[in-house]
Order: sequence, then C-alpha cells, then structure tokens
Amino acid sequence: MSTPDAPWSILGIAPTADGAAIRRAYAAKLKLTRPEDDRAGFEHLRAAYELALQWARQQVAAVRAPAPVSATTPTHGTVNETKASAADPTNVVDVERENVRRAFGELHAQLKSERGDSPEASRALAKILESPALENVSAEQWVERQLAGLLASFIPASDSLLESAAARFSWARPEAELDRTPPIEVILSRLNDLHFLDTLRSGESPYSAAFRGLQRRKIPLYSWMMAHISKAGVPGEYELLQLIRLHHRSLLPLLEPTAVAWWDRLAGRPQVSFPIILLGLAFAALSVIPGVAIGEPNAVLVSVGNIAAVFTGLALWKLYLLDWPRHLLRTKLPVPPVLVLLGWFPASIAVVLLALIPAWSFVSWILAVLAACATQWAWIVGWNGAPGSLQNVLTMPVFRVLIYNFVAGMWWLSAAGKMPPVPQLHAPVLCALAGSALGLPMAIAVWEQRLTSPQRWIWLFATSIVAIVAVAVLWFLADREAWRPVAAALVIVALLMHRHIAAMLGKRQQELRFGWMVTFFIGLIVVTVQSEQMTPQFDVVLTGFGSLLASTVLLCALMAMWNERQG
Amino acid sequence: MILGIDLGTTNSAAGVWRNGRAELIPNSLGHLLTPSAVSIDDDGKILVGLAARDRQVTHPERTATAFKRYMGTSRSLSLGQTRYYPEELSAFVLRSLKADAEHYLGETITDAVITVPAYFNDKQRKATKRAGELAGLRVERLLNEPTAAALAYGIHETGRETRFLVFDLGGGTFDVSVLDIFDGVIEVRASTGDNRLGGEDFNEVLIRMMLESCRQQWHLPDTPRSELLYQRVRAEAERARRLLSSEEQTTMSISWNDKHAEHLVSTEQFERAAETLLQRLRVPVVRALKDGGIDASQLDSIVLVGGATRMPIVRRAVTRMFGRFPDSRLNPDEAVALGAAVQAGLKQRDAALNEIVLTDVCPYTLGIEISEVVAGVGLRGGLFAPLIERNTIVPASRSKQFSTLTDGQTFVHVNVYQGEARQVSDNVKLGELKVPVPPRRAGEVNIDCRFSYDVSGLLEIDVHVPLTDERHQLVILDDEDGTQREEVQQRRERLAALKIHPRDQDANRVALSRAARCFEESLGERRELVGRWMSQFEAVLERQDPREIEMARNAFMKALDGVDGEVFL
Repeated sequence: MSTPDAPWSILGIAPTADGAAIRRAYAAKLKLTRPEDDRAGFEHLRAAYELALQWARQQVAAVRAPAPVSATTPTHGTVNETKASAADPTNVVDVERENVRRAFGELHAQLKSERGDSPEASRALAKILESPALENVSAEQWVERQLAGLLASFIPASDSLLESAAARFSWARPEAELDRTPPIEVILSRLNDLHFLDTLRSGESPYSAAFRGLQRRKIPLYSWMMAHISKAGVPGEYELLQLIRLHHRSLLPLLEPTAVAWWDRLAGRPQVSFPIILLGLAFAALSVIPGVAIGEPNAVLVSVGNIAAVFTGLALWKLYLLDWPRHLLRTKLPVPPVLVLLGWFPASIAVVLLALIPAWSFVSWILAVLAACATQWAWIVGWNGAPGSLQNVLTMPVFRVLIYNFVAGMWWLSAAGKMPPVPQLHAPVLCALAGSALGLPMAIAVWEQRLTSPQRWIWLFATSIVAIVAVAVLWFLADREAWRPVAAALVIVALLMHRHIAAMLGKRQQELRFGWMVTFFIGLIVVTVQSEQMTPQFDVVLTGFGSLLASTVLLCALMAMWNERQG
Repeated sequence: MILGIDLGTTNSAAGVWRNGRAELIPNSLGHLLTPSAVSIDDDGKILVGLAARDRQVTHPERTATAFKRYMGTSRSLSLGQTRYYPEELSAFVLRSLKADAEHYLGETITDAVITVPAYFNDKQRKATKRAGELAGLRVERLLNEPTAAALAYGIHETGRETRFLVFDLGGGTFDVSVLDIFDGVIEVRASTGDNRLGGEDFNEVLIRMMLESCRQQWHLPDTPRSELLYQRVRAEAERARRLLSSEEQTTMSISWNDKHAEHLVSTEQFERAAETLLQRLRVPVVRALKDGGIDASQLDSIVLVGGATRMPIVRRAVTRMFGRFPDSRLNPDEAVALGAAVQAGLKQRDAALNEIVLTDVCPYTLGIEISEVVAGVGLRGGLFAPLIERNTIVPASRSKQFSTLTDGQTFVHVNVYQGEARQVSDNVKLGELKVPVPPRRAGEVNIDCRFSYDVSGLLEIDVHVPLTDERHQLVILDDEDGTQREEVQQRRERLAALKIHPRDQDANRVALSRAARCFEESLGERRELVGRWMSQFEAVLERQDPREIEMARNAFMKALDGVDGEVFL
C-alpha cells in the first residue's frame, strides 16, 4: 500500500467516491479471499477497503463542506413505526422528548448567564437526566453527547451539575477510559480538579499547608529561608505546583502568580541566588562570632575564606562531587543506586586526603574550608523537612544548625591554634559525642517517620558504633603515620553505612546531610589531633560554643515565631 | 461432517448443515436442547443433561451446573470424590452431544465449530478448545455466540442490505453485536458484552426473594444457609421465572425440613427487583452502537437470542431502549446452535453458502504495558498501549514500535493485557514475555511488537529486536505448552476411563431423577404417591422388556407432570 492507487487496484475498481460501489467491489473480492482461508490476502483487502472508504468520505466531505449536523432532533427513524397504539412505547415518549428539548434550552440559558449553579439549572438538568425519554438508546446517546458538549463549553461554577451528569452516564468508569470524547475528558478533569481542591481546602490533603502558601505573596528572602528552614519546605509548595501544572491545570488561576513565578525561579539548578549568598554569609558570620568575641585577628581572614568557599563549594559539591555519574551519562532520569554510590567516592577521597595531609599546610587549610562549606551547602540544598508543628521546626533545624556550627567553630578554633589538647581521659567523651552526632539525628528521623522495623534500629545502632570506633581509632592512632589509611578506611565504611541506612529510610537528602557532617567531623578531629601547637584554652572553646548555641537557638525561634504569625 | 455446537451455560445444542439448511440434532430424549449439567451416579457413572440437572436438587454435591462461568480459571468443581476442571465438565457435555449426533447422522464426527461468548478472553477460549479436544473433537473454529446468532438470522437476509443488532442474553453471559449485511457479506461491526450477566442473575433475584420470604415465614433471624435448600429454591425460582413469561403472577413454594413456605411474585414485583440488572443491559448496547458507528435509528431490526430474552421484563426493557418491538423470528434458544451449524457449512465449503462471507471482530482491545516519561514527574508506569483496538475486523495483525527507558537496560518485559482502561491494573493480564536486548542508552534500543489475532479469537505475539535481529514469540499461555499437552493427554485418558451412562437408558434415568426430585420437593400424600410410582417403575425396569418399559415410562412422566408441571428446558 505504498502508492496511493494501491487500494483501488486491490479492490479492482477505478477511484471513486461512491461508497456503495466500494462496498460492492469489496464484497465481490471477499468471496475470493475468505478470512479463514487466505489470512494475509484478507488483511490486505480489508486495509484497502478501509482506506478507500476513508478516501471516499473525505471526498464527499470536501464537496459538501460543513455538513449541517442534525443534532437538534433526538427523534428520528422511530417515527415511521405507524402502529401507534396505547401499547406502543414510541408514542408515549414523544411528549417526553419535547420536555427534554425544552429543559436543554433552559439549562443552556442558565449556564450562559454565568449563574451556572442556580437551582434552575440543577432543576433543568435533573429534568433531562430523569426523563423517561432517555430509555430510548438513541435519545440517550444524543442527550449524552449534547450534555457533554454543553457542560464542557460552559463549565459551571459549582461541580454538582457535572457530578450528576457524570454519574448518570458513568463517564468515570475506568473500562471506558480509552474512548472518552474530548468534552467528557474536559468534564472529568474538571471534576477531578474540584475534588482535589476540596481536599486541599478541607485540610485532608498533606498539601493543604503548601496550598495556602502558594496563595500568598512571597517575600523573597524570608520566603526563601522559610522554604528551607521551616515547615513550608519542598514536599510542599513546589511539588504541589508541579502536581497542579500536570494534572489539575484548571486550579492554576487560584494560585498567587508571584508565588508561582518565585518557585519557578528557585527551582532551577544550581541556585546561586542572592538569598543563598545571604544565608551563606549569615552562617559564616555565626561561625566567626566566637573568634571575634575573644579578639583573635585571624578570625577575619577565616571568615573571608569561609565566605569565598561557600560559593566554590556549593557549585563543586552539588554539580560534580555527587552528581558526576549523572552528568557523565547526560541523563535526567534517576541513575541506578550503584552509580549514586560511586558518586560518593570523590567526596570520600577528598576527606581521606584531608586526613593524610599534614596539618597547617596550605592545602589542608583549603580542603578543610571546602569541607566546611560543602557541609553548609549540603545542609542548605538538602533540607526537605516535612511540614509540621512548631515543635518540629524548633527541634530539627536547631539541632542541625547547632551541630554544623559547632563543627565549624571547632574547625576555626583549631585552625587558629586555639584548640586545647584534650587529655586522653576525654577521648571516650569525644567518641560518644561523635556517635551521638551521627546517631541522634538518625534516631529522630526514624522516630519522625514512625518506623518500627527493628532491623532499622539495628543498622542505626551499628552505624553509631562504627562511627565511635572510627573516631576512637583516629584518636589513638593519629600520631602514627602508618595507621592513618586504616582510619581513613573506617571513615569510608561509616559513610557507606550511612548511605545504606538512608536508602532504607528512603531519604537521600538526609543521608547527604549526615554523611557530610560525619565526614567533616572526623576530618576535623584528625586535623585537631595532628596540630602540635595546641595550647590549653578550654574556656575559649566553651565561650565560643555557648555563643554559637545561643545565636542559633535565637535565630530559629525567631523564624518559627515569624512563621507562626504569618500562618 | 462438521458439527456446530452451542456450548451454553444452562443448555447446549448441536446442529449440522445438511441439504442446504441448518438442522438441529435431537438428543436421546428427542429434545433439541441438552442441559449443561453433569452428575456422577452412585455407581460412578457419569450422567449428562436433563437427568443430571434434576440431580442438582437431590444430589448437589455430586452434580455440576453453570460451570461455563468458570471456564479458563483454575477453579475446579467436585463431583463426589473427584474434582473436575470446567473444561472437563464441558467435555462431558460435548461428548454427549457428539454421541447424539453420531447416532442421528449415522457417521463418526471428528470436527466441530464451538460457540463462545464474544466476551470470552483468550484463556477462556483456549479452555473451550481444550474441552473440545478432551471430548475427541477437533475444534475447527471458535465462533462468537452473537455472531452465530447473527448468521442464523442473516442467512435468510443476504438478499438485501440490512443492519441489525443481536441482543444475546444467555444463561450466564450477555453479548451485543451490531451487524451489517450487504452483497452476501455478513459483517460484524461491533461486539461488546458483559460476561457476568445472564439469566442466572435474574434467577438469583427470585432466589433472594424466596429465601427472604422463607426467613420471614419460618421466623428465622437470618436467611437460611443450606446448599440443599438453596438448590431447591433455585429450581423453584427457575420455574417461577419461566412461568412469569406467560403469566402475570405465580407462586413459589418450598418444602424443607417439614416446613413450608410460599411466595407470590408478580411480573411488576420481579421487574422492580431486577431493575439494576435491566439497567446493566443498556451499557453494552450503547457501546456497541457507538463502536459500530451506527445510530439506533438506523437499525432495521433487533434480534433477541438466548433463553433469558424470553422473559417479558427483558423484552419490555429492549422495547423501551429502542422504541420499537424486537424481532422474534428466531427461537432464542436454538439460534446460536443453528448459527454454529451454518458456520460448519461454511467451513465445509457447502455450495449453498458459496456467496456468503462472514467477517467478525475482536471484541476487546489488546495491548501491552508501557511506561512513559512525564515532564516534571519522572517515570509513570503501568500504562496500557493498545495494539489491536476493540472491534477491529479479524483476522488482524498490528505492530508498533517501543523503545527502552533506562540506560543499560538488558531486558524488556512485554506484558500483554486485554481491556479498555488506561491503567493496566484495571485490565486482564493475558501473558508476558521477557525479551533480552543489548545494553544501550535509553531510547536507543527499539523493539517491534506484532499482535496477530485469528478468526477463532486466539492471539499470537511476535517481538522483533531490529538491533540484534532476534525474534521472540509468545502464543498466549502456551509457554507451558509441553506440560499442558501431556496433561491434556492424561486427562483425556482419565475421562475415557469413566463410564458414561448407557445412552439407551437415558430416558429411564431422567424419569427416575425427576421423580426423586419431586419426591423431595413434595409433602404428605403427594410424596407417598410419587414414591409408589417410583417403585412401580423400578419394578418394570427390572423386567427389562423395552416395550413395557417405554409404556411405563410415558405413563410415569405424565403422572409426574401432574405433580410439578411440564418439563421445561
């Protein structure tokens, strides 16, 4: 059937627009190629026949141009049944048909007047749907077509009309899905949207808070911080926006346009936007406070370095350290877990290098700063806490900010040579601290998700143990060069276990955060231990730590309060 | 000679094309219909037909009816100690029909055309074919029931152009077909149905009514649950339903455990109770018209087929639906078997049918499961990609190209589904095929899927991987073909070992089964009377004089008519 005249040669006639002639030719040929005897021949003949008929229809349509659709009369054919007696069902129905037609006119007028959900409209619709005339199949089909067209072109303000029509003709039946007409699709999608809107408004949906957020204007900096720090985070607004765009387009006008635009700007990757810079600055400043407080001149240098590293670190980390398998494959689809695991290696190697290079060398200094910033960035982009109560807002972010800043402060102090030589006695305390730094956030995550599987708890416990052992080994063996690779290997094991747990918990972002935190924490201890110029200034550490804690708690409390007031 | 067989849910029939016309074959009792019932005798012999149907009431645990509903499933029914698959039970019925035909025609029958509901899926069709094989018949073709009925009707209409609708409400299935006849071509335009709707469901309405009435009259807290009572009510409901075809009202009465209950049911009452069932009749009709591209007003006639269309409430519903009276030229019980006989004639290349060609459609959409990449969401799986759209003229083959979704993908799972929903989870899974592909980037490997659907409604799937030029084939459910063939052989042997009740004693057996049922169903004097007749008849049987037996049996049957009304089929 490669040439246009092929169907005609198979049918054995000259091209014609006469359907009857085509049918005759088909019938004649069919007796020679019976479907049961000559399967291939029949399939060819049938294809030719359908092609020819289609061609003929097009010709006829072209000649007659827009043929008038006689859709206004649900009554045809049956009228010529002349035996009109009392028992003749055709007779009774005629009156009813007239009623249906009138009700249609009324419904049309109501819908057109933009008071679509008036009681008159519902009454008119009920009259149509309940009419005995619909018992006639052809009348029913006509009504169904007309009604779908009418309702789809004048979507009423309330959904009760759509609902009753959809229920009457069972439009939503899944087995009829493939042959819904466009108007029916419109109506069903509208009903679906309205149903979704109801759940959003009633607060039944997990997206309810996000929906309210999307209806508000965005205040750039504040909203950005809120998006990352407070409960209006990602399984909230942006996800909801995507959902609405994909499946509930008719709800888009209900959203605040600036909020939509704001999310669109934010969703691009990587985001080195003004708010990010500001937040980075804020964090850098926080980690510098203790240094400034004790009047250390190096503090300024460190904070500058820290800020610079925020920008380098975020781009490097986000784009290349973790995502390189994806970039290599040039795909936007989720990459297999094995490759994600591979993505960890450059990051792990960086940490190992950090541990192996002697303290106070320039490279070590830079690497430590990078690690600090990467942690910072991991925290920033990785935040996707679930929307929750004030309590959640207060506990989770505070805890994370605290850990991070503690780590950053410790690093700064050690870099500035202010780190005290911790006596051997304190080693167990430090190990326990490292273990809980790892284990506690995980424990909270598990508790938050109400995970009860004992296996998960065992894994959690095991990771903490490995982390504690890793820190202990590092602690005791830090001055013996030969043992450092072992210590580094332990660090990597701890990381991989983290990865595994995070995968079990189904939260990759959390794994990023804590993985990096542990990485950095252990690296920091190595650097600290290796530093030989440590002088005992324990009170300085305490001051710095105390001020960090106070400022962080204050910041989070302020944010939470602000958020509550806005909500 | 090819036998045309209507293997129904309640009744079966067989016919042949002879001397230029379709002709039905009477069974050993002289009836054209044989109830699709199988029972196992106390001495281990198999009973088929009327005798077995009566035993449904007296020996429900040794009797099976309506097993067509389970065709193609692994559900087995127990007759006494042994369990049988639906296809084995169907094979018994087929074997009995074959024996009747051989006796009537005086020649051995090896080939058959068997009808199936249009809505039977591949599994059910395969099971029907296997049933034929078990009965020692080569199944030349499976024919859709409404198409068969249309053939029986259309064979007289080939002279003119006409369009009609076949409304086939059988015992367990409901099929609607829209047909077009022109120049000797009988073309099925569309076929749809509901394979869970039939006369049995209408019976169920009356059964529920009666059981409820029993509960009230016997002051029970709950509707009584007993298999024996249920079967008896069922028989009573069946009779009431038939009586309601001719009368305005009738009484259902039940005696059980020395208790008696009666329920007066009128046509209106029945119609109201069956309202939801009647509503369900509309859906396939509307869809068939829509698919066939024919408006209800363009139809020249509405042909009613299937025993259940005898019910006046169904006829009234049809009349209201189309605003006209249906055509009742055909005997609704016999049309399908007659059509099967016509098809047998076509198969035999009978000269009288030279100018007639039948084309049928595939009544459901066939396709495979796919996943799609949706912008912003990622992968969306479990979607249905149709290859052969429903109501495509068969035989048909269609092919479509699909490609891999993930990098380095080494296998493509081709899951085959039947149905109309967009999500495959709402459709029926027919089979699956695992196709190895060379690992490449996503989208770089294409596979061509080809579906071929033959006139009997059996599906074949070819998958071609152009990159490696490998071809894989899946004949639905035939992946276990090897074991299955062995199993068929084994089962055939097992069935052959079973003794079938001697054909020439069928009539006596029927009389005794019926009497046993009457005995259980009646009370008091009447019961005694039936018992006496039974012993008299048994005494005659002992004497083994055929002429005397026949006379005694006729008298016996007539007497029983007085007890429970005339035998219905």
